[in-house]
Amino acid sequence: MTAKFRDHLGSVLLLAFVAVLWLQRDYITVFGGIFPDIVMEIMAALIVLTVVLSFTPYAAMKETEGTAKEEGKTVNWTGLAVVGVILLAWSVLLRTLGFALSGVLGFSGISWYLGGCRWEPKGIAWCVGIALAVTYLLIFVFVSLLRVPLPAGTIFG
Amino acid sequence: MFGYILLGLQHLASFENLLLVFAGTVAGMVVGALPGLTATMAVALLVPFTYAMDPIPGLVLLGAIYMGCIYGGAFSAILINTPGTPSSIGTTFDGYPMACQGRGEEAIIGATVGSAFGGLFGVVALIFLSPPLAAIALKFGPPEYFWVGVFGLTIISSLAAGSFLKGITGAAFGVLISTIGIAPIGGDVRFTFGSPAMQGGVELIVMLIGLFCIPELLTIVSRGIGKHQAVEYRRTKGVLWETVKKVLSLRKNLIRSSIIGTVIGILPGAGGNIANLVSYNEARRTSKHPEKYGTGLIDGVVATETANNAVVGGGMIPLVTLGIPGAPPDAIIYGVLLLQGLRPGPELFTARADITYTFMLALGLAAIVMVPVGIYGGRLLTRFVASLPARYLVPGIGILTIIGSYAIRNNYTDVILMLLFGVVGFGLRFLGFQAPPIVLGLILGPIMEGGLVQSYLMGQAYSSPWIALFVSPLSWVLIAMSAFSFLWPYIGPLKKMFQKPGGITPGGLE
Repeated sequence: MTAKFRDHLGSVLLLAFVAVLWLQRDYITVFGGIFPDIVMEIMAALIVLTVVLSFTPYAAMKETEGTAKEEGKTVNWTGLAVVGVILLAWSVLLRTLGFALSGVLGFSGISWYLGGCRWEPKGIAWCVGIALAVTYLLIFVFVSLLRVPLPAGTIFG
Repeated sequence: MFGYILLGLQHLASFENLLLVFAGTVAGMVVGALPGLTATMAVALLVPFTYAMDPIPGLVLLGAIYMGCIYGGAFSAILINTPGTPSSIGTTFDGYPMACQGRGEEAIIGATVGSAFGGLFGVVALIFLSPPLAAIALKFGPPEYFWVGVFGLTIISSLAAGSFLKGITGAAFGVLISTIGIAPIGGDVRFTFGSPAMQGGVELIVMLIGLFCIPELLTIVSRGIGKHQAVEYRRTKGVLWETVKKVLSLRKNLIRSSIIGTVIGILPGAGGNIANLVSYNEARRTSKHPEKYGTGLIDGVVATETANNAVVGGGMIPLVTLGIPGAPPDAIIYGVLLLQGLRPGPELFTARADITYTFMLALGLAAIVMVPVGIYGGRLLTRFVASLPARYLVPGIGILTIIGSYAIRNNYTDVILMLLFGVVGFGLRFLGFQAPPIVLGLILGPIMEGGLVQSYLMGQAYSSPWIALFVSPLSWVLIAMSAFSFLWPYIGPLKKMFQKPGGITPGGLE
């Protein structure tokens, strides 16, 4: 991925974000819109400037530097996707399963995946054991000591 | 005054109070090190306990927790690239690279010595300079606050690694995010997409955890090192004394950062969130080797940690003299003072001076206690984190991010938002937009909006509503400081351009 492409992709995404917020504007008073409108206009101008500059020699220079930095780096995209999905499921299930159960499942799931996804009883027991220990230690610290409530879950509580 | 100081020392020397300082500092450090738990939350959690205590032990405990908490944020900033509190955002810039190079212990020692120095400096300012410094805070009205926000944004050149333009766009993104929710003036509901859960806006901590923690977690995963350690550890003989000597030799950095922290602490609404970034910027700007900042330079860690602990004493100055809290935890301490029947103002320095000076001295003692506890505990923590394989470190960070984002408001939406910001942060990092300018925008957005809209209201008395922004001399001082800070990075390259016969090269202005 070239620096120019990154500039364009970033600009398009941020411009889309600004456009979505711009279309959401529904101010009742004049005071609510003064500041966000100015910021959106400035941001749109900056994005346009980024796109314009991406066609100049200045951008070409940056591109060479960026390409040099990227060399030799391999990204584990599958790992990213799997851990991302587990984290998302963990966050969504928090409301239903509660902190304790979702914590044990999420922790042991990521730990098992990053450990090489082996179906060995000993390895799985380690993952679940550590997940249980960490989750219940945190519940003790937050709920019992600090009196910070953690979600019990709609199923259990 | 010296009589009261001696009386305060006498009170503080009791076994009960010394134990409270020690326990409070340790507890504060632990809370501060956990992402999502802030000093404000720690102090607030203690209020019911202190209500049942006498004023002196209650305030001693609160002060120690506050000081320890601000320092504790450095641990997670250095070891897992996640600021434990917003006051340690800048510590990640050089602290984490140091940890990755196996120099985590050195970074922790640097942070400890800097924090102790800054903490003590703030307390000395609190004891000796309270009345004149408090008068400065009273001179700041809405226009000045707007310009303080603009000045804060000019430090982006230091925070934006790579492209300044992308840095300032990222900051605008952060400012825009800060406008989500109910408008501070006028009460308009903005950009909530019809969701009542969004009316409270985006919580700074949620965005902080999302933008710093999740991308780091994903980066460790993307390296495919499940069974190996994510953070390197290199045992160096004599690292303690070498680092202490090195940090103490950075006299200018220590003093400048302490002054920045104290002065920003005095300004209500600012605090450690801003002080650490401004201090980092100034350390980098005045350095002979600014290009080394961000690569694992101890000077950067010292600058941020010194400033954020100086804020503790600085923030107390307007509180004890005028009853105006300088930072959010100070507002809770203000409540505790009132609960204990202590009214901020001259009375605190006369009729109740024994309590006031004991409290101030307890803050100083907490800064001293941080050194042995922090160095010992920090080194153990460094070795522990460095010994963890990524397969346990990643879910460990994951579970802390979920607790941290949920605990702020007991809101499930915050957990989802945190994750969303994490993915956005990872994507934006990939596209060249760094997290620090975005967070800076989120911090400064409310300050700027409040200042701008209130100035607009004040300006109704003039021919143009915007004139109010330019009326006071202090506004012009801040405008000049902003212009200077903004142009500073370009002065060096411009000088070179005029010296070299070939002129400037593309990218030379970065």
